[in-house]
Amino acid sequence: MKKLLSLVMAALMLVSLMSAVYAAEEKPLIVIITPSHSNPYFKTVADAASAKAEELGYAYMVIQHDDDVTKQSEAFDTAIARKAVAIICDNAGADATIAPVQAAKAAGIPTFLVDREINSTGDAVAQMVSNNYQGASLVAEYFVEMMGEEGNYVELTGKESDTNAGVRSQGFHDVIDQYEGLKMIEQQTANWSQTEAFEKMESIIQAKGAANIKGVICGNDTMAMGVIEACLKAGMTDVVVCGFDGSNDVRDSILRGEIKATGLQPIAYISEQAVVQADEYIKAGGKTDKEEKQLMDCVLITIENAAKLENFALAN
Amino acid sequence: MKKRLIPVLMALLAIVLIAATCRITIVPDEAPITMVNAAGETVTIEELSVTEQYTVDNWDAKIIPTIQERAVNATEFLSAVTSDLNTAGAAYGNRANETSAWSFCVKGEGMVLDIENADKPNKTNLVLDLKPFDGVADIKLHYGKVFSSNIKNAIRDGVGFLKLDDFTNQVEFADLTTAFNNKVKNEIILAVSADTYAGKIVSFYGCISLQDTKPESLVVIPVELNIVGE
Repeated sequence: MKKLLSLVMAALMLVSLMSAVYAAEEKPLIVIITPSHSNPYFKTVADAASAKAEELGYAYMVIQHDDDVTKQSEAFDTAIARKAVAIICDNAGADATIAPVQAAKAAGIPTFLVDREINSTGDAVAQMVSNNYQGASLVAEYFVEMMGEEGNYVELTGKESDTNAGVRSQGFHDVIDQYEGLKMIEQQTANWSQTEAFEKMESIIQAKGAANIKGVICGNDTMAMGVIEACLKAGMTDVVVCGFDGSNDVRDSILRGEIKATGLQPIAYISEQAVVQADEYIKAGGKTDKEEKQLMDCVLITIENAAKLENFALAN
Repeated sequence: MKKRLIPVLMALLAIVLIAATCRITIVPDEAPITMVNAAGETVTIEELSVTEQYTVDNWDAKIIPTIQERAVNATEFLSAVTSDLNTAGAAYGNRANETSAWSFCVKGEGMVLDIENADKPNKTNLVLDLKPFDGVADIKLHYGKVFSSNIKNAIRDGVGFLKLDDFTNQVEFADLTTAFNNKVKNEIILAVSADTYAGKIVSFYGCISLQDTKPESLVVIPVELNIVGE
């Protein structure tokens, strides 16, 4: 009895660990692999892709890799073992993802990458990512305007292993560095994390003094949320904080007059299009007329249009 | 015996440590390459980036000829895009996908009615009345030092043959835009002061990116600009 119980427990744990969703077995399977859904951005990837998969007549399975490359490899192994017809993946590392994608390709399973690029071409069928550089330029231009083209600012960057962290930072600087009056007094990574951003911002405020920091530009929205919390706690109500992603949390903060702007990544659209292209690829017998790397333009979100934003999509 | 061994070992350890932590770099003697920078100074450079080299190799050979070949007359262009941007885009323009702006190559002749933001060198525009002249502003030529994100990719995306897949990643693809715009900045915008054009008739070739057709969006990045009359 005890043995059976532990067996059942183990099975349950396995299922919950993979946070897998199974639909009807006889339909062809699309496996959707994403980072942790604790960031609502990645939940949108999974929700938008799975809804489109279901609509197009596929079974689907959602697996979270939590930005752990070992977990991601296991997820690819699962997809191969279950003979998936396609993999949709928001990957765990630009280098570490090359081998799993190649393994899937060798097993005859095409991978459609969304949101994050990898450092190889010819392995995945598609790499559909937001135009991070364009989006970062939009945010930076608004940041410059809100800063009045002068003053000290801080930059918090994302996880180094993620190409997007570098691309966004470069997009920010290619705009901001054209203005001599703007001076970056601190640049640190907070690894995309809200708590880490809060803690780092508190230390930066202590070290530099609240009065010496006019703005903070952040590589994503969760870090912007941590930053604004630390700034408001220090009484910095006029601080210019900008983020990137277009989350509902930052939308609400913008509407409260706290965070000033963010760049909306059309991630719901990208995730749906990845499934649409997977479907076309499968039906064409393993062919596509699309380019591998596809950039989707971002939209600037400010007090002007924030109210129209919901779950990473802008109402018309 | 043992006591003597210790300093020897210590010395050996020190050598190993030094060997492990030091790196010998051989710097080859190369002839310095020089170029004239944005400020007009001759500077020594290591080497050009991939996209700068691409620009050097292809600007006159491929970019300019393509723009001249694809260029739509600006008056026709304006009537086409203002009646329906997507139809005009499909006929004359380029875009990567539905989320991208349409980019076009255009040409025309116009009278410079005004120097917009003449006191802000980052944001200066030449305001043109296109032929036939009616004294009304039709389109602007970008003449600022800063290329804002809504217009900056006009050349790269307007010529139609440059694809992200042909470059390492989106950073390099973005750098291509910077290299093209620097070329325009150095050879046109910084070379001739904006007020030189005041009241003159100019002919131009250029590229434009459009998400919408509001008057403030109608800004062409010039790649060729010449005064043809008073």
